[in-house]
Amino acid sequence: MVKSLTFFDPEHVDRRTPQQPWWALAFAVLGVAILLTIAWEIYWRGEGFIAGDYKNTTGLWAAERAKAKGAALVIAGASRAFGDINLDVWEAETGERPIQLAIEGESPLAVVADLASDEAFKGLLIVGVANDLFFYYRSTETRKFIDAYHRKSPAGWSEQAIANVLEKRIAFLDEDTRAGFVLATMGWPRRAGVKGSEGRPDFPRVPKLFTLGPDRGAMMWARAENDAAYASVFKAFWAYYTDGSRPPKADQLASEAVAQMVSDVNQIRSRGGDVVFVNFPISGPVMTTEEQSAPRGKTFDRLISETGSIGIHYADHSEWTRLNLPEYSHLAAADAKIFTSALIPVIDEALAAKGGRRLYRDRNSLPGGA
Amino acid sequence: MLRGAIFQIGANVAVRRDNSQLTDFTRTEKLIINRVAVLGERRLLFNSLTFVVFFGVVVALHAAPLPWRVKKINLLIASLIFYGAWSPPFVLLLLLSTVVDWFAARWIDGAKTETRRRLFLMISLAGNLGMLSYFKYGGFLLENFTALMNAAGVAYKPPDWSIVLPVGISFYTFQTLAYTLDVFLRRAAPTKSLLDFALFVTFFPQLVAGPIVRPSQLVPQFAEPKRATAPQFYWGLALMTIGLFEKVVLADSFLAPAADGAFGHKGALAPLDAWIGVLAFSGQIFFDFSGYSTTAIGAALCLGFALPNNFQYPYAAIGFSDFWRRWHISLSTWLRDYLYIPLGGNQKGRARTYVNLMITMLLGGLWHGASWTFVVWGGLHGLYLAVERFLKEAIPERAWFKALWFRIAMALLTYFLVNITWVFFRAQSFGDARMFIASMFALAPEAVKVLYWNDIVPAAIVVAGMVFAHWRMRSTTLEAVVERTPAPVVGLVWTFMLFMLVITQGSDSAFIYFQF
Repeated sequence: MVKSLTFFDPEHVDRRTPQQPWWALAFAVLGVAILLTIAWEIYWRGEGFIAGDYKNTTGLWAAERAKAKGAALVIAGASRAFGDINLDVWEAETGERPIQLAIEGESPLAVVADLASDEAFKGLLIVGVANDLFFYYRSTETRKFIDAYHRKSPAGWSEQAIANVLEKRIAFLDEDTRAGFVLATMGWPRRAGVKGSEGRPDFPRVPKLFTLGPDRGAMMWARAENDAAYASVFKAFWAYYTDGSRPPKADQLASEAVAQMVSDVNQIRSRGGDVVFVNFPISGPVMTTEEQSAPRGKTFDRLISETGSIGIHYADHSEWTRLNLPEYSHLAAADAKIFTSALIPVIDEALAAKGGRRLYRDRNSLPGGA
Repeated sequence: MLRGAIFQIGANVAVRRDNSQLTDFTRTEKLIINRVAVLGERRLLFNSLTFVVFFGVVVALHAAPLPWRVKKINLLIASLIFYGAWSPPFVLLLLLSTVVDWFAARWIDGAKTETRRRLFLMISLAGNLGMLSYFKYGGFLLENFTALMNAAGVAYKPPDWSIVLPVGISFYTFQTLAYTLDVFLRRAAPTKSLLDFALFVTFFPQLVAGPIVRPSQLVPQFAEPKRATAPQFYWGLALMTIGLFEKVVLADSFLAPAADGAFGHKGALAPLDAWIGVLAFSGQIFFDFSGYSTTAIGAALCLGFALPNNFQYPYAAIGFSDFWRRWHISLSTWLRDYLYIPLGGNQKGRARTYVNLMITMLLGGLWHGASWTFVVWGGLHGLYLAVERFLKEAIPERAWFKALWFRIAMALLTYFLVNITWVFFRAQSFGDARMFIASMFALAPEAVKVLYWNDIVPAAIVVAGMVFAHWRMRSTTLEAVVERTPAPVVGLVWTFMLFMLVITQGSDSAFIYFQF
């Protein structure tokens, strides 16, 4: 190959250090970098980002998944199950804090299958059903979350532990303040004719919608709720996803999803656990298109019928259709609290009717102190 | 127990394979809908918060007033923790490799007959290459055996093969092999201290992705107390900043979106998208790997140890022998010294020289991964080297060969041809590679655009800057440039890189070369 190498001597290494006033340089660099970082933090706080808002990482999910043992109460689903159930309210009213395993933009099928195959889980699983995602979409990203739990390593654990310490105190540690995302959202001109770009919002991906607590308790981010221009980005995304020009949904996919759920629900029940399916409130064009593309009779009702499970659909509760959904698909933070408070007794009564476990740990916390 | 742990962990998904699992439609969906981060990467990466803490502790212990032997034990334990943080059971594999080669080298040195010397060398080769074959090439061999049987009409169904590839196995295997081969070839005497040898194999800065250090380069450094001088320490920190900037900012944030977007698409691409995709990948793979090497060199220097350069501005290479003096230098010299020269090098006639060249590069390709696309990548480089050699012999030297315009033209031609090889390196299959190359030359029907301006413009700027910088730096070193640059400018650049690292918030992604 090569006879002689200018840059490599296999016998020894000569590493020269360039002459510079290194101590002064290092001191100045560190000082200026700290000042710039403080300025960066102040800027993002001004944009509405807050300390104590955690990144939705696979490591954070894996830590919660590890708690899903025994008679635990677990939530799976997509973004609606994630943001519409307020864990604080649930805990205050029932005495038990649910384990939040919902993942934004993902079908929960893989998570339900994972819990069903886990002999250690014998609890109650509340599964959020977003008809489009649940019945017609096969997730691929969910595998990373499940792998993060099953293939946990000391490095993965320590990385999450250190991130938790920093994210509790620093506001700019967020997926939407990363330099790469900021660069991509700097108002670049659209490139005409890019595949799949027609009708797509001018963002590389869905921006920040929720704030997260250390145990993945989520609520709608204040800016998404109060800034109409920001909320319009989400409206555009949901319109894009529910675009009627997409290929028609394959009934086969829905049948496979229902068949898997029948099997998984039976497996969880065989260990003494149970599964409740919840269809969360939606409104406006999101509701219209979802009813057209994934009609309830072919999807949710069929699921409930074939699994013999408790199914709670928002449309059956007229008071829930009046809740505030700033971008048609997720509840505003205050309304998520109202919804959670109202959802608990509905589930509890349905469980009671089946003779199953109750949600209220302390009888005094039952509605009306009964 | 080890085997159980391996199977429990399951199959390892290589970094570059990720996007290929998605169809076109779902790719578009997933890239924009999911804003979650993959944190909790299973390895201890340089670009992780854990490494910052880990390295701080190691530096503090190394600076403490402790006996040199205790400091070396500290470094050994730190290195094993560094490796074990990914998967503790695999530390046993690393230790096994260390112990086998330690004893094999001693036995080779003490053997009375040539037969026994060869026998002990075989033990070392069988141990190292057997381990590499099992973990890295087992699935590949089984897959090809199955295809062969099926082609012969034998219905053969292979057993499941879900073996995790231990991180860095190709690197540390080659490093320990160099030791026993040096002893066998009487180039070096066996190391007297097992502790020094174990530290040579496991030294954490270069353990998982090189540079592949020779025993004569590193082992003597463990013999006497080493502690970085203040300038060495700060220069080491500056090198770590440069390396991480290359990886986190340039490779992951500026270039990966364009490269992943283009190579993740199944089907014909518009020529601009294909060209930006492959050029972005040329930058991504360079900054990713060079970033690792530079960080490793900086980390070692902070502790007072010197590691060799692994890259020397390769995209300014004029010709392919020049390219391989500048790209992954520690591997190319390893292949030269332990494969090409033992095969006979250029000493056994013209035909054998070409054959030796081709064998070396084909195996070099296979070293990168158990896939025929890597073999073709190596084969193309072998072909380029052979053609270059032939042309140099056939065409007499002309004065204008030294003219600037000619040198620039040859450098650009070299870079162009290197980019063709990168298509095979990055593509998932030959079909994808063929389609990608057809797309680059506008020969693919129904070509589509997949990249946005926010992918294209940053990638184009970074690649153009990279090629220009390589050309300006091709005959000098970073150290020389830093030395003649005014201190305020050095400080400004260092601050910029550090601040960019902070606001990029790391990248959570593994180094591409970890999979090799």
